[in-house]
Amino acid sequence: MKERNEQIETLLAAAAKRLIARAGESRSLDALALVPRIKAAVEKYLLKDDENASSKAIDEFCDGLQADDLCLIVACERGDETAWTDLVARFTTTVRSAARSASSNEDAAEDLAQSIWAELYGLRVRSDGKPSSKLAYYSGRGSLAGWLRAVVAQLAVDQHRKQSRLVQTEEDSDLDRLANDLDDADQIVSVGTVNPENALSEKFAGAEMHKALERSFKKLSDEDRLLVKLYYFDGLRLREAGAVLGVHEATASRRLTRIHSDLRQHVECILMSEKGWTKSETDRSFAEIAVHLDGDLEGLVALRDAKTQEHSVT
Amino acid sequence: MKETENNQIDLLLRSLAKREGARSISPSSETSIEAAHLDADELNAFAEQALPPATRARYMTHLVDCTRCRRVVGDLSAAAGLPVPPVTHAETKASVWQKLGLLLSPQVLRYAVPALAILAVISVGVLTLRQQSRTEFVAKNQETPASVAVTQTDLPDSSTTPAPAAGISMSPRKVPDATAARTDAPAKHGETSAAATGAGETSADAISPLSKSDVGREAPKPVTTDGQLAKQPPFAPEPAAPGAAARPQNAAPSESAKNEAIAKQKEQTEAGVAAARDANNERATQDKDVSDTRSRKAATLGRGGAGIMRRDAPRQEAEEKRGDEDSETRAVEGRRFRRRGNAWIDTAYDDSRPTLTVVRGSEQYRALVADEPAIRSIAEKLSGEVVVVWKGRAYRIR
Repeated sequence: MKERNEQIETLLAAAAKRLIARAGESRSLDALALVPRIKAAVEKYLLKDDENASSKAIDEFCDGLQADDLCLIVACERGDETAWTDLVARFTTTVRSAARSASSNEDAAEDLAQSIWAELYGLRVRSDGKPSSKLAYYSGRGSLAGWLRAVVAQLAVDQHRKQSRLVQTEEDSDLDRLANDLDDADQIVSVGTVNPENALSEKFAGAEMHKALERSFKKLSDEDRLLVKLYYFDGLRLREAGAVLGVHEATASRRLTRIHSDLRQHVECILMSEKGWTKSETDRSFAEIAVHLDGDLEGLVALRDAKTQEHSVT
Repeated sequence: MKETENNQIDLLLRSLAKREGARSISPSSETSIEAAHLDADELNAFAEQALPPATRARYMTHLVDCTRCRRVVGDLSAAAGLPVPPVTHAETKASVWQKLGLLLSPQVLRYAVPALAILAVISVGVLTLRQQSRTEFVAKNQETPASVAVTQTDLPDSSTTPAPAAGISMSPRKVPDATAARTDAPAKHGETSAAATGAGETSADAISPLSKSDVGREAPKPVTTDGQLAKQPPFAPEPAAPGAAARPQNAAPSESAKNEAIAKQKEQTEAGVAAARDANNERATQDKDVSDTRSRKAATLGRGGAGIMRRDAPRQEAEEKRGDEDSETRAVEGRRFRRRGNAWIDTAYDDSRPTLTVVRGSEQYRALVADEPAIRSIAEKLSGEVVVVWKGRAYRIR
């Protein structure tokens, strides 16, 4: 264990030297100043999931760090005013842009951007007396611009949730009721049907189908589930969902088609083996529910929007 | 069908998403995983594809269930705008398998199997037709050696003459002439048998099976006996010619020479009969083998030679014939004459045709040429004996 730690320390020291050598502007930093930062990143992203990572893997990980960005942040953290000025000059536009995206208006965006800079500068003081700066959390694994956008997004969400909590007590029950209403979406499906028996049958079939689909969805791999969530639940386009997964839009499309087939098979298997449905019954139910959903999904969304507006007015 | 099924699942998933979306309107729904939210650095590293695989997989599990982090990652990925490879290696593999699967799917096989079956039937049909045409072709070629074999087996009937030797020396391309030789041979045989005694005639008939086997073995004998024949190229009419050619040669000078030739043939016949008696039983069995072997040999010759020369043979033959004719034949008064020894024989002349012998300078000759001046012209232009066919009648002018 001790040998392993010594080996890692040696690797990290060498990696820090290489990182400074790679940096276009090392800001008078020495390798020792970077070692703790690099070590934290290695433990967080590499050794936590692979304790026995090889020397080669560690070297490759360290060599993948953003040398210039990491040196800039470490210099800022150490009180280098020039570095701080450079940071603000280089990333003001990025932070403002991210704040605008996360805010509903310009004033809110400006407030959000100022909050970010305050957080970064460390106006708050930690329990040990040192300034509490978010700069300490930058590992250098991703770009500094991306990290700043992530910080802005998280801060925007936190602020939104704080504001939301103020009205949660009175709205929560209404929203839960709305969710319950939408849970009974099959009732909407049956509104237009003439035969109550058929409507009941379709409602039952739809409920079974949804349950089977939820179970089937959980059987998919994490990557497939993430694609489905990004595309269907978050409303991302295939290109955007593919970008999250690091694949091309065409690849995402093919993968989604395969997921459809897999889900169909799983659902059919559940309905036939557990519910005793025949293949023809399953196919017919799929077709009927699809026809109703095709027409009623728009109505479902309209109903939800109408209720939301009603709440906001009241 | 597949597309319809996918569309149905697509609609169901949208429905499921709407229901989940309605549930997530309530902020209280995410409190359970709030503590485990990814920090900004982790979210950014994930969005920029900068994580080791194991760590990325762990974060992916979180992102599936955490709407908040997932949405941040979605925004970060869109903002980062990182280029992504068109098709990853894994996807290529998957797509290959998918393509294979699609290739063997019932929808494709439904059309592919009948198409393949039709293709197979057509292929078999074409092969069969080609095989048949090849068989016909081979059979055609075998006719040549067969005729040679027939010639060889028939010729022994007149084996007492040198004709068989010529028959054996025939090459496949001389087939038409070989047939001529075959037709010539009986006539000659008839002459010979007419000259010979009745016993000789019967002996000649008796040795016919014997001479079949002797043809091959004793073939060189007559050739060497008749040096003129041996030196001549194996031209079809020539095999028959020695007998016929020898006749005017020998007969013309003196009657004794003719008698000598007949005696010689008779001796050969008697010798053949004696040999036949000695090895009667043995040859009876060998005959078949030898003739079979000869037939096979001839067939091989015919198959090989004719196969190669099936197109060039007629032309070459015609050319050679023309070349021979230039040296052996002459055209006078619109008639063609072929030289046989000291005689010029009309090409239209047939031995079986009744022939009127006319001696030059005789009264009969003068009467003939007075009526047919063209015959005079022919007789004057061609020296020696001339056999001409004129107005359906044959004249032998000496």
